[in-house]
Amino acid sequence: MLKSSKYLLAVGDSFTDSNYKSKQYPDYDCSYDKWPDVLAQKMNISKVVNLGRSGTSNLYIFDTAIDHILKNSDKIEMVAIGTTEAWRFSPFNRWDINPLQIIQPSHLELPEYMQQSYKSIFAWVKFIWSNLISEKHGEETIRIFLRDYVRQVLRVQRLCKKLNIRLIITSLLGPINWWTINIIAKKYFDTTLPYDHKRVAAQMLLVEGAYDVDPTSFCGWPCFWEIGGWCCNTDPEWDKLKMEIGPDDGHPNAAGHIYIANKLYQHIQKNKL
Amino acid sequence: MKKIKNTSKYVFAVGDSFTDREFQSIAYPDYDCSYKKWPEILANKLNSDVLNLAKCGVGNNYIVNTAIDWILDNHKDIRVVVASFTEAWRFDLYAHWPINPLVHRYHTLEESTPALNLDNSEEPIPMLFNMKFNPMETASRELCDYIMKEFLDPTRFQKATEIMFDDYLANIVRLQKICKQFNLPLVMSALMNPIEYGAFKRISAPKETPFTYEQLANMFMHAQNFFSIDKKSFIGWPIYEPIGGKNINWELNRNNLTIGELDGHPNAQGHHYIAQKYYDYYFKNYVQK
Repeated sequence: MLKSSKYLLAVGDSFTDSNYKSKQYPDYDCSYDKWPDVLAQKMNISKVVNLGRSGTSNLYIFDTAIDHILKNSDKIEMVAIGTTEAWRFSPFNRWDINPLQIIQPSHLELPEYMQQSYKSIFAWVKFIWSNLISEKHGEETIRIFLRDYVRQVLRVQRLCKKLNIRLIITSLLGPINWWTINIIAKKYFDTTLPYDHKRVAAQMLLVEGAYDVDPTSFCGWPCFWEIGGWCCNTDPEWDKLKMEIGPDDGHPNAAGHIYIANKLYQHIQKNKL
Repeated sequence: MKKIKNTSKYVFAVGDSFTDREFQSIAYPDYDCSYKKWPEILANKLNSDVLNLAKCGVGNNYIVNTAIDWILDNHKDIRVVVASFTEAWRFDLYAHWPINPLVHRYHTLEESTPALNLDNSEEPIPMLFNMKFNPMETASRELCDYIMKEFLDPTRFQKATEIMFDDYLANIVRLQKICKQFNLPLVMSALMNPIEYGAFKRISAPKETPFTYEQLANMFMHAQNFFSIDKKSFIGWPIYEPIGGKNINWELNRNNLTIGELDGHPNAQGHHYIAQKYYDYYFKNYVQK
């Protein structure tokens, strides 16, 4: 079979970034093929353009994908997008801000702009988290995140459909992780969440546009396992097969990237994308 | 001269408060703003219907993505896309909470040094005392202050300006490309300048701004995608006078086409003025041709 001269466009966060380096394990060799490379090999696509960027948000991921598609639609064989947590955001598509990192300062080094703006960002990050843990606003806040996420998914799905470009999206880091919110609630707000993980998943079903998402081009839709979806960080196989770099770094190791690529490849085959 | 035909297709408008059909003046709460806004006036001139999705307070990313979402589903029904862009430093958290760092900066100044702003400055700061923030905006205040300080710091303003201009132009190019893809006529303008120099003079006072108006315009010209903008579709391009642009916002002010001294939004005549500009550009580029 002849290889396509067109390329696979990959966009995502650190789970996709071809230059990913582990901060927790600086000596760990991360030079293995990432999932877009493995997927391209399986699909006989000779070239990969990987625009994955560590730490970034879905806003950056989808806007970057759309800009690239609009500029290069005739050169793209397939678009592959790995989405991230819905609470991240990137003002002006430049500063990547992860509220989780801000509220939970860890041993990880924050990017320079986050260090400088740490105090200034903290107030609204605290506002987001205090909303998330509140009985009154928690579910509503989750729906705000998810609505934004769904809009972005629909935008790229519709664009690719109009331009007749093959597309596969998946949620590598789930859009909302109840367990993470709960840990923060306990640790920093001395409380427990007034809703369980099933309620978080159920919010996806209440979000405008969620039923318009085309599941054939979204591997694992609707993301939450509680409502029949899939994403890496809630996949039981993921833990069992040791596909992470290590206990302190949940990014995929070489086997993890192959696992993701296989998952996507199977979905592509099954849906004849 | 060719006549513009009536079609069942509609004028599709996006923008901020300068375009929002529901706009209400914060500075003059009793001012009757029920007059027709420029997209409706333009649609009347074109004998078309109008769909106006503009929203007060939003940033350019919101404006463009709102347009794209609508165009992707409805491009066959659209006659012309008319967009008006806003200040480059605005952003919308999760497309839900619009944030304007400049407004927060004004508030900080008003509270910390009221005499400076109300009595001693050459130009009065637009009155924003009546403005009520949503809780997210209040929580974002320090972040907004941080962004504004980036602009006001002589060692950092260049980087901050570059980031804002790059993002501003990337949004415009995205909209241009979508319209081109679906063969849709597009007319754009900056009813609010991407970075308003006068505003910086006010928030910098009593210090000098770290840049001159000419330097600001020059930075705009060197931003990514500057030369990708279709100047025939953009009223007043390249916006800043020192590089040959026309500033509609200033024209409104000079010609008393604004609501009042404390509110620079267009009055009824101002909206007619803007609509005529859009009509002229549409006619020249898409009808006369």
